[in-house]
Amino acid sequence: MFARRALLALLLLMPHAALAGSPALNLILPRGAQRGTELLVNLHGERLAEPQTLLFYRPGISLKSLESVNAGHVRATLTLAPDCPLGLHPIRLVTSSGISHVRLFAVGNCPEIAEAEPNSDRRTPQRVTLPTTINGTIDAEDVDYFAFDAAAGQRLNFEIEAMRLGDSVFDPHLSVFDAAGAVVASADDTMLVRQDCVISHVFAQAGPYTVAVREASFRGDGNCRYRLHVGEFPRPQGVYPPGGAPGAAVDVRWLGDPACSTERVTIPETAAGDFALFPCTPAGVAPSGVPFRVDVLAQTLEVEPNDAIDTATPAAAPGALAGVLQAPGDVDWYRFSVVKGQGYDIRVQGRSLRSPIDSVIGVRRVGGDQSADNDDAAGPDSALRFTATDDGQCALYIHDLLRGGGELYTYRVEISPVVPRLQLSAPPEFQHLAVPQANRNAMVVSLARQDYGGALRLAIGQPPAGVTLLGAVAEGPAGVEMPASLNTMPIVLEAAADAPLAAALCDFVARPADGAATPTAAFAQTVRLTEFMDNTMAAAELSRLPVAVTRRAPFSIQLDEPRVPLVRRGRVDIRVVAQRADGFAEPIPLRVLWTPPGVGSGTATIPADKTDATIALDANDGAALGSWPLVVVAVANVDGPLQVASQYAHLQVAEAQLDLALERARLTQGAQGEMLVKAKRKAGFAGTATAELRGLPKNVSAPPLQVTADAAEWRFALSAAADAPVGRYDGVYVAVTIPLEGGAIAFASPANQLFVDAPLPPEAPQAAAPPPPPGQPPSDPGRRSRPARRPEFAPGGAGGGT
Amino acid sequence: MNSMTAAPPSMPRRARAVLVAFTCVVAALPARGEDPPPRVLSMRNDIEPVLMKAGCNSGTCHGNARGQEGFRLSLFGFDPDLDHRTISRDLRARRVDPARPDASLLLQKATGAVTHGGGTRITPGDPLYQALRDWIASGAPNDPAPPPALVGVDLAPAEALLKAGGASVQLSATARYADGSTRDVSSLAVYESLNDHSAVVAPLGLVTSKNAGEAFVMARFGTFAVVSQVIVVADQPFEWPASIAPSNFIDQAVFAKLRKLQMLPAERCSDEIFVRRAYLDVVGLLPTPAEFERFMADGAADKRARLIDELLGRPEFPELWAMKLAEILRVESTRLNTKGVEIYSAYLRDAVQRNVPLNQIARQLLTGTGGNYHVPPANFYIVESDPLLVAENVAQAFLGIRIQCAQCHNHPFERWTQDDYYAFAAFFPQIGRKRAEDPRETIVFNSASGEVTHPRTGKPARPKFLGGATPDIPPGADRRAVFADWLAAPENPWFARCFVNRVWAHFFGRGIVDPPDDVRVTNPASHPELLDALARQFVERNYDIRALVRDICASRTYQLSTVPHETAAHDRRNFAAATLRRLPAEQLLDAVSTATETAEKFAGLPLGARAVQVSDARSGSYFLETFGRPARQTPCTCERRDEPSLSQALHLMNGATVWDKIRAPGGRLTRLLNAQTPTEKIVDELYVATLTRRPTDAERTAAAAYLATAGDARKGLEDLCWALLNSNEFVFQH
Repeated sequence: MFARRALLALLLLMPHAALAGSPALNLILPRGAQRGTELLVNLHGERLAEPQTLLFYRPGISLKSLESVNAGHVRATLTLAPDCPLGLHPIRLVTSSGISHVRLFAVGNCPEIAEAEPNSDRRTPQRVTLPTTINGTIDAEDVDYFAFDAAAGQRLNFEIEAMRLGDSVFDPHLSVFDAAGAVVASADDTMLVRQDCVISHVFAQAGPYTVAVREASFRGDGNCRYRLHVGEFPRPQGVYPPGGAPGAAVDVRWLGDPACSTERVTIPETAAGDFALFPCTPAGVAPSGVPFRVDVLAQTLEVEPNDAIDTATPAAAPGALAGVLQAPGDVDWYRFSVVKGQGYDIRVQGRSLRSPIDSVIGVRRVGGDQSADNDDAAGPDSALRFTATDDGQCALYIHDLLRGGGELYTYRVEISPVVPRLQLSAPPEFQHLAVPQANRNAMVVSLARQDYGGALRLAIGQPPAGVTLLGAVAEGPAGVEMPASLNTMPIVLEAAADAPLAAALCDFVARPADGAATPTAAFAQTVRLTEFMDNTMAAAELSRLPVAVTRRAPFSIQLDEPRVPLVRRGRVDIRVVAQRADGFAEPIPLRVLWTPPGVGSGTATIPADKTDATIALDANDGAALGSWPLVVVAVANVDGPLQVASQYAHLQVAEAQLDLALERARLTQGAQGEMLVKAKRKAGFAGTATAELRGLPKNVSAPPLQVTADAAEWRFALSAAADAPVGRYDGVYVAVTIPLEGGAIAFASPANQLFVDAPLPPEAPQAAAPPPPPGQPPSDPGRRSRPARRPEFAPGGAGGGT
Repeated sequence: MNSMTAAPPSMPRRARAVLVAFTCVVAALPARGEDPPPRVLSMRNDIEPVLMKAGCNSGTCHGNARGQEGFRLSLFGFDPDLDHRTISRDLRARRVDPARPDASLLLQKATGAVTHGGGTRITPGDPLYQALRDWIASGAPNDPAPPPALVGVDLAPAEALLKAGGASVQLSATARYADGSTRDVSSLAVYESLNDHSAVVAPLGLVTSKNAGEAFVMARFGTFAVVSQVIVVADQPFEWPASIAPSNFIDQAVFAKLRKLQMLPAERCSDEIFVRRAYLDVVGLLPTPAEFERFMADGAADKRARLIDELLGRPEFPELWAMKLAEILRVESTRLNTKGVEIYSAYLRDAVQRNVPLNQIARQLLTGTGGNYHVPPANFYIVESDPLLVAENVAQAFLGIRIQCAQCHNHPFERWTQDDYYAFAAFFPQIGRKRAEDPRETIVFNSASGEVTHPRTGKPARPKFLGGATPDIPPGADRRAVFADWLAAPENPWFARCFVNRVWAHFFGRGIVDPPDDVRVTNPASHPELLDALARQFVERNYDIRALVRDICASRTYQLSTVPHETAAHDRRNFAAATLRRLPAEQLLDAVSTATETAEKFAGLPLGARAVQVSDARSGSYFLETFGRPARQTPCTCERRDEPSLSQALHLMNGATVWDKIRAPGGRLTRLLNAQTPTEKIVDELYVATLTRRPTDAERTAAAAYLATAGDARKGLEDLCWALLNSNEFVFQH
């Protein structure tokens, strides 16, 4: 380890090459392309110098060449395979200094054209030839008109990709006009594609028509980009059954498009979870898929009539139930056997498969009292856990909250045995790890645990050469350990000095640390692309972690191992030392990447002319005890922000040595008083510690005390100047410092009150109330003291007026 | 002890005189004699009326929500138990002293014997005093059981005809109780004339006429307020000329009333005025010079009716009424966001365009279920979520009733009680709202649970129609639908009347009940039979707005000039002449744009859109805000401001809107000048485009004289255009 650090320090002393900070990729133009073509795309952003490669999350697109135009513009030549999957492809740009945001690039099947203004008047539309995919932009209050001819009886589909592209909150609206200007069809939102929309229209009469694109509330700006697909391609809006098993051949019925009806589809053996089917006819293929749930559960299809418990469709648990609410008001019932004590997770896949259903489900014990129901536990979909109290039959019903129904109201109810489940992810601010050569970088990972409390081992599969995942608790070829007590944790990657510049999308998994085969968790992160009032409007679902080796950074940081524990209600300073490359004189802001529960941290900056700084950590009353991994990250300006991380240190969180309790105290201006502290030994300490009263008002003082661990009562001598401000002071506490070799343990007592009173007026000598004896609370502790008491109310007063 | 001698010797002479007057007319209070049988007075039927008559429990005195000086009575006595406790128990029972009743603080204060912020309200010995004193002397008891409830008050005569200038009539008020008994409460009722210009009323109900006109006199007793119509006619011969014949049932009703009032309607307006009025009222636009010329050239007798038919077919008609509905329904983007506003407005436009019966629109709004982007009427319940406010909005928007006051106390000028309020609100607590998948969208549905708690009883209120029955609603059933059925039924007493009155107010500048969303006993209709007839027709024609508008515009009443006949010079209530009114903000801005042939730009609308088409009340426009566009924060018609302001005058005179439009490169003036149009023709066209009439000879001469001195022809014509746009004749509907 020492040798590695020495090497790192040595390397840092070498003059650094010009290095830009983390790249920001803002836009890819055009927004998509036809598969089976090669094209030049423009990537726009900031700090895009020295582009290295593109990371593609989905297969089918390959990078032929990459060329830097300037720091804000990169040109890439892409090759789209003829069988490239249709739809949106997440892409990141890697430069020599970092990894960009994720952006989406759309792949279509139709010939592509670009919108050409002027086309904002229905009388001067842009003429298009079908099938086509039009790439356009809606400016402020813009309407784009495109003219085409339709034959009598011809069915055409229109699908727009806009909100989905993730460029801006652009809610598109489509309408089709006939030659006379009458609207023959329009759409705003289509369930299958959310705020984007689809029109399927059979043209009764041959003739010229126009299709218009606008923003739903007639807004728009230069960022409102869209791709409008128009053609005879199939565009069903649903499929029944909505799911099946991997490898199965399923006879499906396409819904919502009369031009395609049934098809036998074979589900790939490797398919899992959320999968999409692309209906394909001689006229083409749908521009986007129809979600289809793939799971090993045996699937029972509903048998109508099953509108009542008596006619419930027989099924099995575990298993999947698939049906459709055929008409408004429809309710579907199923019956299945359950085993006493067996827990079942029952979850509806409805809206998640883009069915319009807003499900409500209920489970009833047949002939028993036990029941459970749910509306929205899984978004608009329903979910509940049901544990049978007896062997027997259960009945399950499902209906729409608004009692809607129709051919698209498909659903699948999955009844699974309760098994441990894990989901590995990361908070939104951590999406990738770019590690400079001979340096480190870190991120926080999060784990959602369901019915599993064990320790886990995290492993990154096949990172770029020379990159190592460091372990805080234990590290090795199998990965680093995440203790059973944690659901979030920092991880640190280190790149060797000689690691070549490279990037990869890495599998990132969590497995039981005890070697058990299940449960396992793969990394999955939903990256928000656009938002409306902190709600996600467009997102990319990503399942691999981007890791890159980048050019050397002109600085690195090292965290000194804290030599004293952080105790509850205590504080400790940690020291961070920076190694600066020659000539690098930027301030280096620091922050603690992650703290255990109950521990807070400050921030610090290593000034431009310094190489170290300290960061304060503090623990509250309930801080989690134990040894915790500690990592500090530094983000300095290198023509843009660049982040590196320290190595792991270990933070010990412990109980305080003493339990302290302050008594409330009262003091008169210009007088002496006392504050009593009761101390109870806990872990204790050797020798003496310094105790100091803090939070005293101005002009009130108390000399510090030297105390031992066994002193049960400490008395601070208080003295108030004549001008000490009168009032109640709630924040008085004792700060204890226990000197130790290599540092000091510091902690504080809970606060209590000190009252400062004005002296009584001299003309009423008998009214002078003695200060409350130490240890006794004053009679009216909650009230602010008056400057002077009125004599008639003074204890023992004569009751006369003034 | 009931003797008058109980009055303290210090009693002023004037008070004694009043007391004598009281004695003459008070029949309801215990008669005083030598040995009257001690009568136990009722808290509800005797004491509360006294407190009301003396003004103790009025809103400005102890009926205020905070009371006065620590003494709080329920407003107009709606909570006798509370009042009894306050008077007889609170303040350590110092307010009453049964042993020495005259020394009771209540009486000492009311007579001004001790300092009283409200002054002297009653005089020792007068019947009001005596009633209170007797009640205190008997121990200030509460009613052991509630006495028969007051069920109504009759005021006689219901209608009186007086000659102007001092003729009088005595009103008599009779209370009716649940047990069938009646009682003369003329002396206890509180009277008020709603038109002091024509008639005044004395505290004991003597009405005295002043000037010719109509006055409603209100009498309030208990929770009831009733009115009597007093018509005061000039003391001169009157004859209705045979030439003034009614065109339809509207005229029959209006003219009948005018005859009674001995007033004559104004002349029929000219074609110029009619075409301008009809365009502005029906489609919210000024006629273009071409439209003006076409109408003027039409020699057919039925051309006015045909113009109305033509205008009713134009797309601007539904746009105007969609805007008016949007005001009542509070369509603005704070709560609905821009997409919701767009969808809601488009729905309203489309519904009016397709002539969806208005009761069906109301039903759709009241029962909207689903996401507000997919089921536009569901926006109705997103605008407001508090059940009490929803109820208030529904009452005001669809019934024309303002029930807000009854939330805290029985309505002072209406029959609605706090019980009515909460029973009405009980239709609306079971409205579920949840966020849709699109975070901007909200799903509205029947949640089948939730109640409105009556604050006095602490119990859930049971839904009851306003002034109607208490329906049986099974648990879980959609209460909104039950309410909507009642509202949309032809026999509903409020809905059709409310809406026809709103339409009427649009065309006449004031409602038959005015304001049209403040229907109450004490704000009576000027023409109740007309309102009934309009509502009946409206229902019979399946709530068709266009048919209603056709009737109104065909009437001679609508076609009257704004210059009243001398017999009706001071009348404002009886539609004897057309009402002069400033154009509403949107119509005024659109008129400026039409007159100048310029396009206006509003956010979210293409260049050239009209202000009437702006869906969102929050869409910024200095002009519209200055001229009183409603913010749509409440359904109240009072939100639209039509009072003049300095900023309006300055904006028209010096603001960018008018000047820029006059000088606009694509504007009318530029076009005419570029076409080398002769100056006289330009002057003529400017007059027609702005005032919908050709200039008079005098105006032509004056214009020519001014243009001759102006030097630069363009500058001179710009000035002329500016003067026309700033003229009252342009700014006002007439």
